[in-house]
Amino acid sequence: MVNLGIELGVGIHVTFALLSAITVSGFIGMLLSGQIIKPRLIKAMGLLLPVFLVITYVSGGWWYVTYYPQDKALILKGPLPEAHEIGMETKEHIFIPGFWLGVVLSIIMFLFPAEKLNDPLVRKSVILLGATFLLGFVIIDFLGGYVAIGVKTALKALTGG
Amino acid sequence: MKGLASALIIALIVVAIFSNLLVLVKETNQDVFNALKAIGGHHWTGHGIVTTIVFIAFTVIAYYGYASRKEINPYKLAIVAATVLIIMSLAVVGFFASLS
Repeated sequence: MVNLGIELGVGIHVTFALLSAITVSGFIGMLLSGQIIKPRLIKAMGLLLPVFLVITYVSGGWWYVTYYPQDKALILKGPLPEAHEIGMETKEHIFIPGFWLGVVLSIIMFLFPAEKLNDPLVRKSVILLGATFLLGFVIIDFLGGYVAIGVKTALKALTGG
Repeated sequence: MKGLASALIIALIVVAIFSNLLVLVKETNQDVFNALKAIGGHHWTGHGIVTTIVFIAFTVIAYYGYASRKEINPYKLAIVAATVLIIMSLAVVGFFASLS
């Protein structure tokens, strides 16, 4: 039987996290190109990014407190308990400052005029913060995969499949 | 960089450190763990609510107390923020690896 809560919750979480990363990548790409030629687009991205982040946070958090306890119990009985003990524990906690880094980037996108973003020192600083955000996204994505494999191997071991 | 952006980055640095300390404390102290659970219904939700308050409070404090009056080198601030975020993330991995 299809459980829309689980499927939509996880799907929305992952999709909006990816949209957040694409938005920050696009912003970094514009900064690396040297000149801000589409300031209105950056402002729009600055409005969209917090929306993406909040949806990622709420959908992931809701799924985590509602459905993850069953997965956690399963992972801990399986051959890869580290998928929860290290993977999920790390993922859920580095996510919180990562969210606020995204909020800081979106405020910079929305408030900074093009001439300020063209300032080499400001540009370099924002690129560094954006790159840190993307590094965090990749690590969290990796850990999400690790948790999923933890569930899969546990199911395989427990059902003998 | 002067003003709100500097204050936000300072608050981000504070939140990254605070959130990590909260992880260490809540995982080793049941009273703190239960208090966070009481705040948000789940310890992770409570953790999120407390760090949100800390982020907003430190943005206001940093803005009115420092960032609105002093010119801050943005690149130095960004380097500190990126370094703190990376070190704190490694510390979380190390902490949970040591517990497992």
